[in-house]
Amino acid sequence: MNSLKSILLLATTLIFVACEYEPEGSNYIELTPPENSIPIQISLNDINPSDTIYLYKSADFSVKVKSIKDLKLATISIDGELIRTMRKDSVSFQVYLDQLGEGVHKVTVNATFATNTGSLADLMGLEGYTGELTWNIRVINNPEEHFNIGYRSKEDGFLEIFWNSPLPQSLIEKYSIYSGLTQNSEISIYDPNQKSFTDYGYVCGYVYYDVKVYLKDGNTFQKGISFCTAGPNIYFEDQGTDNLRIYWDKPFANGRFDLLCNEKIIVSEITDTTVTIPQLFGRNRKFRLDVRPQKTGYDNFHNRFSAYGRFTQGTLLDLPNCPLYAYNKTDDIIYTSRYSDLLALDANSLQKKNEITIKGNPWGILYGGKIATAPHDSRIAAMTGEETWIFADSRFVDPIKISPLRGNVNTRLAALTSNDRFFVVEQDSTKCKVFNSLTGDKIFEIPFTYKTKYTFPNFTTVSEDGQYFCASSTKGIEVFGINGTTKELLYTDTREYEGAMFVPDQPDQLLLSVNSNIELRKIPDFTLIQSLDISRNKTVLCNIDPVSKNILYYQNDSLKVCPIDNLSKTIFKIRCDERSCKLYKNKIFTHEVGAITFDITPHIKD
Amino acid sequence: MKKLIIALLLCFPIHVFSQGWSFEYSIGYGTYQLDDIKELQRTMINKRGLKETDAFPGHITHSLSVGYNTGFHSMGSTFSYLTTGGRLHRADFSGSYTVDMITNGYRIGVFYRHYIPTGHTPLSVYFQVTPGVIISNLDMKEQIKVYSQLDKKNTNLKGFGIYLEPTIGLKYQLSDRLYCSLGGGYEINFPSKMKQSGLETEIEANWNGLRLYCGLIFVLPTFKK
Repeated sequence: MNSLKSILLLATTLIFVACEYEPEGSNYIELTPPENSIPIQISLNDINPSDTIYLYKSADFSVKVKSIKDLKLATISIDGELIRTMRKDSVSFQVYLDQLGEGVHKVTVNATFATNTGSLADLMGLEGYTGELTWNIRVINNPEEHFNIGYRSKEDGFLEIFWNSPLPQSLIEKYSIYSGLTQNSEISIYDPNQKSFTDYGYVCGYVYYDVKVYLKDGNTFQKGISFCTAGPNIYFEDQGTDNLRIYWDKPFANGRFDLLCNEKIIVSEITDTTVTIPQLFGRNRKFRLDVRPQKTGYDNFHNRFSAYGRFTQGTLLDLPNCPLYAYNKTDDIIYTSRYSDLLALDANSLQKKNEITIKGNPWGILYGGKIATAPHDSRIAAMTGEETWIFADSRFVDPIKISPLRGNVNTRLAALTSNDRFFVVEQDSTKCKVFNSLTGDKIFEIPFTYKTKYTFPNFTTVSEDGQYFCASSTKGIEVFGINGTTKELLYTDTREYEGAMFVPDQPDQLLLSVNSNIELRKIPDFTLIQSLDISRNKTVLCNIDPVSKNILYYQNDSLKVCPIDNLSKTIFKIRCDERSCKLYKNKIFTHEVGAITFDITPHIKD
Repeated sequence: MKKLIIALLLCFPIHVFSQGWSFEYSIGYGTYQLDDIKELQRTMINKRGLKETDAFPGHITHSLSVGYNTGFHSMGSTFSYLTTGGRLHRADFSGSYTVDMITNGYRIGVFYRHYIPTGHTPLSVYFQVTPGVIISNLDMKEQIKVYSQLDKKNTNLKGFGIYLEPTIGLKYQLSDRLYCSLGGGYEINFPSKMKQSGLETEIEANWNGLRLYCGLIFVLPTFKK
């Protein structure tokens, strides 16, 4: 019985487990498997994937996909992040700059196409053809910030503006350069590969450039640069009595130069930075260097510059125009005037030893005539616009005043003699007044026939000892001997005289400029000692140095010096256009335009 | 599990005489309406090219009955196992897609059988009515294999219903205690909505259909005549 139960149980279990229905049947469909590959076209703005896309502003993108099979899905991602899906064969979208950071990004377009086999995998979307392309996008925010401009001097010496473009040349239409100070119009450069511009219109100074980049898509951006380079300074090199070398800094870029002296052009349109010109004594020469572009076609109102300099051959004395001069042998002092002051200068150092103001009422020494020093002592006579003051020495105390005895620029003669007399010939006067230099009393007068209308040179003169007086003019000459208060006409003629002066320390020698000669004659017999023919060259006697006894005269645009004992020997020559200079202790002093002195001692030819 | 319980019940048979206890095993054939389930299958046709290859055909049934015979009457309990299934299938070079829907029904009921002698002693005719409950189980096994990728999905629905089955049959005595029977009837179902994971669906497991049986009856008499 138990066995029967077991059999029944087992049989029942087996029957029930084995009896569950098992569905059956198969539906296999014969289909053609897909090809291994198909051609797929993926396009992004028709740009070659090997090209980099430069993005500098928000831009529209167009993606197109195409194949012989149906598109299932295409995705567009940037740096792996999905931004768009497409189920049609084209889509457009916009990329904004702030979506992407500066730098390089990758745009990937992945397209999946159906196999259209009808297989289960195809129906489930697990079968398809896929293609993918990637483009590099370089984002440049604010390209103008990456646009750098610089400048340099080229090897040929001209200024070059150069720049770098943050965008490739293929995007660039042209460049334009605007420089209002060096170019008359905007410059256009149509070669994108050209990244520099030579400005022939620039030499130095301040300049600015605006460089503008035109892109093929119509956008532009620009950057400017301005800078300032120093203009040239003028320098002088004293090359002796004859030549003066003027040179200047080379400006940043090539230029051409005009050099003017006192507003007159002396060299024009040179490209060198140095020039040598003749010296000219007696002028505080003001030079102006005009700088312009080397190429003449680039001149304009803005690109010319000037540099200034002054040069004086010799030493400028701090004296105004037309100072008066006199030399005192006893004290080795040169007396001169500065406005209302009478100055005493050390004859060697030319340093002021003393001064006194003689203002007068109202003229003073400012509008005075002459100053004279005594040949035998320290006395000094100064003729003011009102009277004459005679000082005992350079201390300028307790003067003897002779009033009224006015002096002015046209006073013909003011001389102190060693016999304590003061000789004065006033303007247009035919009398020589003689005063006691110790007391100021008038002693006598010497009338004469020939008066001169010229202030310079000296036409009336008296010997240092006061024994001889000479009055000359272009009409003739009279030489008087003086004994006490009497005078005696020693000589007269009617030759045409151009000047007369007694020789210092040689009271019996009279130097004359007459007709076409310079004559040294002995008084009282008026015999000729020396003569120098000056018929070819117009000559003006200046003075005789009381120390060196050298004669200073003006001839042929030059001052010349010759010894008193050899008129034909020129021991010094200097180019000068002033005829009223004086020579004291071998120093030439100008009179007309400011006071300049020049020591000829180192230049004297033996 | 149900099958195990049924098997256990059979370990403890009730010995009766016939007039006594009877143990009957029948193997049969049934057809099944299962219209909702068939409709469910039909909705999946053409999905990704699926085609119906099997649609809940009639299938073998198994029944076990335990009853008590008293002369012309026999009554007791009965258990039946119904199973059928459907298949949707599609395959090609890229893979296959199979949806198998196996539907099992477990009937537990009571029966009353009335025998009518035919005048030929070993052979008798009987009329039987069997009410009971039926527990339905629908397993949907979905498998997709595409190239090397395999995906399976199983869905299970359970339902409960009441059935009534009138049957007419023949019984032939083979020996004192052994008989064979042959019968046929029609099951009428009153199903309720099936549930999936406790949630009611719109699907009913309607097992309506023809039932044919052929079985052996073993009788343990309680009294000797």
